[in-house]
Amino acid sequence: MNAWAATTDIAVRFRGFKKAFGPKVVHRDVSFDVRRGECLGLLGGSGAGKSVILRSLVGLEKPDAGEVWVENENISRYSEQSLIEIRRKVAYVFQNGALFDSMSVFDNLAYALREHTQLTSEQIRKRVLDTLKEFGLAGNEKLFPSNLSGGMQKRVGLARSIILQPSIVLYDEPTAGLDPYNTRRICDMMLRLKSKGATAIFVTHDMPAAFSVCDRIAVLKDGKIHAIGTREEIERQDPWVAKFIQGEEL
Amino acid sequence: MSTIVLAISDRISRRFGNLFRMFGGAWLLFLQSLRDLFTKPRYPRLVIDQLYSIGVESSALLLVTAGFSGMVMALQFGLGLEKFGGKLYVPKIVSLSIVREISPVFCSLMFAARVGAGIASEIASMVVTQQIDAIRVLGTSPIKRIVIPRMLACLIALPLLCVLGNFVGIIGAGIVGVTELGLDPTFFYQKVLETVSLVDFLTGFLKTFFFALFISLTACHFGLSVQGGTQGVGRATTLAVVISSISVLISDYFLTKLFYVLLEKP
Repeated sequence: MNAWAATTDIAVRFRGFKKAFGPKVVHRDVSFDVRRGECLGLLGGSGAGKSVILRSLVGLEKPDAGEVWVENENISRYSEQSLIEIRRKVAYVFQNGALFDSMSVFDNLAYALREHTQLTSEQIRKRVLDTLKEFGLAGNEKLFPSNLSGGMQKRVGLARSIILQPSIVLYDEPTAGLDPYNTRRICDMMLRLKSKGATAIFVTHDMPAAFSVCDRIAVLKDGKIHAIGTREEIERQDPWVAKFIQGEEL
Repeated sequence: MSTIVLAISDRISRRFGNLFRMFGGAWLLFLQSLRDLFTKPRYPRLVIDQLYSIGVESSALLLVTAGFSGMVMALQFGLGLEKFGGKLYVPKIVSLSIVREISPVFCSLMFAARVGAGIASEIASMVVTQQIDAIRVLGTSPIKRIVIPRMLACLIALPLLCVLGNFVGIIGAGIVGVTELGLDPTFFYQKVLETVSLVDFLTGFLKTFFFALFISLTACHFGLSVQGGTQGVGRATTLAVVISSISVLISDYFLTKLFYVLLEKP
């Protein structure tokens, strides 16, 4: 048990995080905290390594150096077996949904419940149908992912991720490629989860979505956290960040 | 000159490096699967599903292969031996060849082509579409849910299909022996039963467990280690079929020697 975790309200902590893929160094020294119940927006250019940060939080990537803390555990050297408990607490919403294409929508949502709970099949059915209703997907439980639109796939992916009621949710560009209406629906769902107390990290290129959902914004540049704070704070700190956010030429 | 030598040696070392990486990866996957096989949770339902798609759905292909291999062998030996008055030896020679070599090896090669390609492309597609990541992120193991069911299904299905292949191959040879070579059916089957011993059967049968392991491991390894998009899926599938087919042929020689020492050497 680490002292900081027990005494502070920090849910996620990165310290001196370094990661390279072959000769390409993606992260040189990334350090930041996310408080419990907070939604942190993670911005940066393409290839800045935003998704790598998220993937490291569920052990899909291992840091070359540095520490990754989730709640009170340093998971940077955890084995696959030890990560299973962490993954029950941390949900990952994939950019394309990553739904199991051989399973129906119902089975996709029931997957985690069957694996990690002692619920009866009737209880699982009720929970899945309630979740689908909450996400505006009622009546689609028998469909397969290939029969769903892009927006619906993302909502099913989101519903599947949070069905175990995780304390931390990682969003990897959940609004990418969606029309404004579906973007709004995803953002509303994220806000609803936030109101229930879930901590979140939101990786996106969609600035309006980021500002509508996030409490703070972190900007990745040159393998480091270049700026972190509220929108006003980071825009004031650095003209580069203000230009980046406004989509001006850098 | 030295630049050319360096370039060639660099290429060779890279090739060998890739080869060792491949064998190392497959070996690690095997060890991991062996370890996970004995820990909970287990998924018998997934093994049954795979047995259907790997075993039952491959049966027609493998039985046609075995049947026609037996027919061709009987015809070739019959026509060849007829010139020397040795037609009567056809049942002996053909049945021994089928049980010891032809059925296990041909069935395994067809199995590698159909099942190996299927497993590699399915897993590689799941990697590319992040479904394998999703399995891990949802707190489950792709080894347990994807690799072990396929490996077990191959280990059960291929030996059984090989046994069926033995029967169908001999029946095919018998049909040719009777219709084309004019042999008496009772004589044919009597000679088969006299010739084929338990050791002959076991020599062929036991090999298929090793072949099944090589095919499933290779396919799962290439599927899981796919890089790149759809092009990578194609490359992984091709490599899985090529490497598993070559493994079958190379290991056949060493397994034949091994089983000779273990089962037959006086």
